[in-house]
Amino acid sequence: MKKTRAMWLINHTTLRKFEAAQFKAAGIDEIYTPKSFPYDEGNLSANVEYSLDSDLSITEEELEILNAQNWYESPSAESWEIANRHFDIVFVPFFLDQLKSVTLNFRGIIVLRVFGHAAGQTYSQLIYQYSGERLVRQIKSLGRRFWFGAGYEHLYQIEQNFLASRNCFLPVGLSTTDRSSEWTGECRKILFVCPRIASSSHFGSVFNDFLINFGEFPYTIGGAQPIHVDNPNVIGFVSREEHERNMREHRVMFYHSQQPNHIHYHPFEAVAAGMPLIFMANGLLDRMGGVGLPGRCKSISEAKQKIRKILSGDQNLINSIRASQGALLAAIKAENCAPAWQSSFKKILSELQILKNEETDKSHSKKKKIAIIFPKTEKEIDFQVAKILANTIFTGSKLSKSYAEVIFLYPERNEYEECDFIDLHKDIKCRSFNWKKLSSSEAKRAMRYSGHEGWEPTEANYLTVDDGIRQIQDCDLWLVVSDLVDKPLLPIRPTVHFIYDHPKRQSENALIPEEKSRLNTIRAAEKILVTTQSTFDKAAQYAGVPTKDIIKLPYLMLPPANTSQPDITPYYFILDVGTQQRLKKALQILEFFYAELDGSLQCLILAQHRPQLLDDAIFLQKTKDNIHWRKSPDLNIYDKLIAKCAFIWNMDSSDMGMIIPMRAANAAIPTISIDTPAAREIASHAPLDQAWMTDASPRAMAQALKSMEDSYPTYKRRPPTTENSQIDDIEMISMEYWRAIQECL
Amino acid sequence: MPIKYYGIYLCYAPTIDLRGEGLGRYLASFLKGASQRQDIHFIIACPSWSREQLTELLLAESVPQNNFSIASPKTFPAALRLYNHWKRYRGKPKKPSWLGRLYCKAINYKASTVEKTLNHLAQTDSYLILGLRLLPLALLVLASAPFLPIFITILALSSAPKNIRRLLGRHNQIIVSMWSRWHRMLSQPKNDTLSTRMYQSMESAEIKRMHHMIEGMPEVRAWYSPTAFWPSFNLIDAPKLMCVPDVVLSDFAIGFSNVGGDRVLYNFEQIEKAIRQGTNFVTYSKDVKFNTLINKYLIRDKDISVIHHAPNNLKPWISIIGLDNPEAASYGYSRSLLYGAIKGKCGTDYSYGFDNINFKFLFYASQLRANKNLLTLLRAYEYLLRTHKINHKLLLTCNPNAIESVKSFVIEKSLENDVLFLKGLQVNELAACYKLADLAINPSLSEGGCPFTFTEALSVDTPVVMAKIPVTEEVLTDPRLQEMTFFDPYDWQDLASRIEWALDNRDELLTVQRKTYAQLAQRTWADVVDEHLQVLERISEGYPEKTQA
Repeated sequence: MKKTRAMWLINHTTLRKFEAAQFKAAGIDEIYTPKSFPYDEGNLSANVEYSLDSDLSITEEELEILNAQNWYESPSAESWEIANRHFDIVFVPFFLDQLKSVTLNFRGIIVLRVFGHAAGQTYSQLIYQYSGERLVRQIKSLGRRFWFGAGYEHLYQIEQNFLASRNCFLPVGLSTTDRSSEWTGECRKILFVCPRIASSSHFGSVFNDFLINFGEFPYTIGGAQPIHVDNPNVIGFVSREEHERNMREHRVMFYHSQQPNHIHYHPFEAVAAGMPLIFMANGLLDRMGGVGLPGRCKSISEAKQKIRKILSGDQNLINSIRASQGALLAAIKAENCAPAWQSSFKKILSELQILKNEETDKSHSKKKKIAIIFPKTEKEIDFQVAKILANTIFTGSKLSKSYAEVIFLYPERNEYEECDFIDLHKDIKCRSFNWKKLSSSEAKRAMRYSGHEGWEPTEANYLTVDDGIRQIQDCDLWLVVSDLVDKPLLPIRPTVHFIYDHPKRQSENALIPEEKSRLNTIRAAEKILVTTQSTFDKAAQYAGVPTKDIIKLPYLMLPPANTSQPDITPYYFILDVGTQQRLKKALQILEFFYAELDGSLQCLILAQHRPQLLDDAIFLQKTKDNIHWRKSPDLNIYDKLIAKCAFIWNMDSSDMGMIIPMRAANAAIPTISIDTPAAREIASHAPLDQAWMTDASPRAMAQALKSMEDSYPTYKRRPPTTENSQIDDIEMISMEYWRAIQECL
Repeated sequence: MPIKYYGIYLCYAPTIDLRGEGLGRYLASFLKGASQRQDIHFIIACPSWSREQLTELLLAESVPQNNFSIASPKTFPAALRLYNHWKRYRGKPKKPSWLGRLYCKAINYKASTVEKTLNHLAQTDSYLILGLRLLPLALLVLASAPFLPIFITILALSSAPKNIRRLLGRHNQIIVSMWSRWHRMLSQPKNDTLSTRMYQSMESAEIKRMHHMIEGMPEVRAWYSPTAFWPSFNLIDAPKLMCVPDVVLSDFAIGFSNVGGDRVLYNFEQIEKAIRQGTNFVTYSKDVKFNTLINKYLIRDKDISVIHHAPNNLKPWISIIGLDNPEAASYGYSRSLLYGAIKGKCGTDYSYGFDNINFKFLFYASQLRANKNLLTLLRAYEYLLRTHKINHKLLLTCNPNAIESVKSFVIEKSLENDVLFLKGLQVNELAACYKLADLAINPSLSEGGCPFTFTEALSVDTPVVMAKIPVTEEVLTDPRLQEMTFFDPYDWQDLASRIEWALDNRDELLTVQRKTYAQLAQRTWADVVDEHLQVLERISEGYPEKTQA
């Protein structure tokens, strides 16, 4: 029979000894513990312990891999594979990144080990607040593989159902040695433990309260102080020996906390050391036998009075406190906690057995559905981009043998025809949609119905995609092409944005309400997908998205064109105009180009609609005669037009504005583009040199255009380099896109 | 033979008409299935206010009365009695009061007198006669004199300064708001928060009375709740089996978010509470067992039984016995039923004048809810109609006003005269529609069990196309039938091509579907009851027996 092994992904020094003993008593002899931990609030009492490794019957190589991981962030796929192969149970503390990683990767039983939070906070709320709906969904999807391993029996009562219903009481135990006979109390001071005074606002205010209330007495402040505190009574981190001496010699300990759900270890250490403990009523100590003890105080004045007496040597009070406070240790004594542990372990292990035997649900292996949502935008290229993205993801999932379904959603009210979707892969289904606005109360109900009983709206309105079927709730991931969404999306499914433009950053309207909504939308997304470092930086620097949530992917590529270049002298260039705002400027440039600089090549604008500005009386007839418009054609005709043109003039400064120039470059047609870091970055992969124009005055830009007209035949293919050949592989790009999508599923 | 007693627990609100609920029909079929068993007796425990309705439902459905009884608290809550009196009073056709009658007469008299006088005035050529003719008019003015102060007050108010009018307007607003609240409480009590709170209190008192009654029934071996609406079911101290048809709101969260407001949210929370506190469950399908109870509510596999429905046979409702050509007679009868339904239940001018009883149509019988996927059916139908691929009408049984997007689609696409909504069909009319339809369609995205559309349509020899969803795949397993019958419910084009194919290959489809129907028809409601009884027996084993208090 396979041995049951556990991973105790916690580094808490004091807890380890007791809990490891409980595992062993339950027959789990092999326990793995992490060999590194981050410095943060939760790990001040942490250390690394190697002794348990010798009990593990996994290979040394595997152990080495496990030990090399940072289990608090993102262990490697290989280490999770080892974990899943050898281990059945994982104990994970309440570190949200760690919890995310474990719930996503571990396939056995997961016990969330918790010890209570400050009053007014619950673990459920904290999960929603800091990790969002996705982690809640992940925890729920674990079903009976998940346990809420509460250190105190009552903790589950304030939690939402997804945690409360999985309660598993694993009492906090402390291996204590009764040294009360060694207590001398010769140091006539209060010992008050208050770590991180200067680095934590909470402890800073606890310290200040202590000074206000008890500053008149002699005192020592214990606890590690990462930042120096300018007070001689604050002793900071001390050696074990000194700590024990402090416990032995201080006259009294004061414990301030009245938190009903959380407690520290030092009051118990004081009791075990025989030091009189003065503590405040209504805290967790009350639940542990504190009610009725002579050290319990209902008010600060009562505490001061008792401390004053103890410091002045009132033996009656000292003796009565010392004689009775041992009751507090009963609740955490190993022998008293063991029955609850063993009964909970029995529950966990029998569940493990049931899960192994039970019929598993087939829906777990069902195909994933990805919704590619194309909102209405004013740029022609966006529609092309959305389709290329859909094709890329579909191909990636197919190549990875995931065979996801890809659904392409486009706005219902737009005039798309069947032929507009001809370049989508035939297995990609299309649906039209309308945005559906939900009020906050409707949003709340929708979230409640979908299982988020603790979710509360923070916005007045939310958007959903109404496809007239199921509001795309059948899709596992919503991928929105661009960030052009003027209200936050209802977080009923994980949402990803594919971003390639941040036009507002350079404009004066950066604080308009739409921009605020766009920023909120991006910030609420599961991940942001970008294709250039420039947009990556904007998403991080401007939108303030944590870099871990931004995925930089290779630039999207179209399949290679199969058009041969005709042997004729080109008589036109193609203008890729981007937005309507850019069109006006383009026409001004063309006015200079034709009227002043005698430009000879004609200009072909490819757009869905004929630009009305062409009829504007301010432009000369000569200019108008040289400008031609043609409805955006499909890709094949586009390729033919590209093949016959002299060059491309790209006025679209967004990342995806480079899609056509890149395609043209493959056909040895050069492009002159607006000079931006993103465009330069993309063009560095092109197999052809590119020309640049600064976004300056129309006259200067016309001159650049004229210079391109004169020099375009000189642009030659670059020799293939590692850099530019990398992106030629569409399959590789597709796989990379699919991996990014999988991260969000 | 000793009789074994089982309990059925119902706790519907007084406003629910069981005859309009799918569960009402299910209960009737269940009890009919049980009627052949001589060794069992069902006690249906329900609130006092449901007894009458329940009795009417079971009579209407012709349920034999041999082995069930209804138990409920004897007296109605007084508040409910008062409310019912009010409803009855409001429901009566109103005769005008004597004052109203007098007022009408006076108005008529005034109109005719003024008219006559004016005519005479115009025709007279003497001052004397003119004076005499004016006399009745003067008398009328005199008679109106007592109302003069009221008239003057109204006139004064209308020309009063703005702030006085505003002050009066504010009081008026309070009165209007109080009146509308009072009106809502009486007409739509379920939508009023105060009424809802009062109802909850009344319900909780009634539940106590019901449970007191149930405690006095130690002979009941186990209790069965046909739905998961009532957490109070779990308070029964006896073996309990709760049926969970589905929890459709969670799969269509957005679609249902604007239906019924927080009242529906409260009901949803009650369902969740009932399931979480439940001990033994039964579902109509494996799909609900796994995807709802196991995956969402973490109920153990061993605590859930799956009992499929038996087919619904509609044939008896339209079969004519004793004629030479019963099939022709059945068609004739069905046509007359449909003709009546078109005239009486569509409620449009178009349908009043529609006299072709041989028209061709597609049929989908269902209420309109977010999971029913009606828009997909409408899109497919519109495409087929406008591309001249079919010439059929589409008959639906729902109320289009229930979902705005459905209503507006029909209007925007000018389908009002081709998509007909027959609301509130009787069972015989339903059977007639199925019988005469060229094709029955079910595009529903989610159901608790395999939709009755298949057996209902096939029972009257009409083929069906259905959405490919887990519950249909679970019951309709023949691969050939699946290939011919199923379409992707998320793709209206797939539905359109399936309809087109089915109409072109109707006979072939019917032949294949008849085979499966013949197999399914082997199962009866007696089998369904037997399977429930097996589960009830199993869960009651080992439960400590109670003695009469």
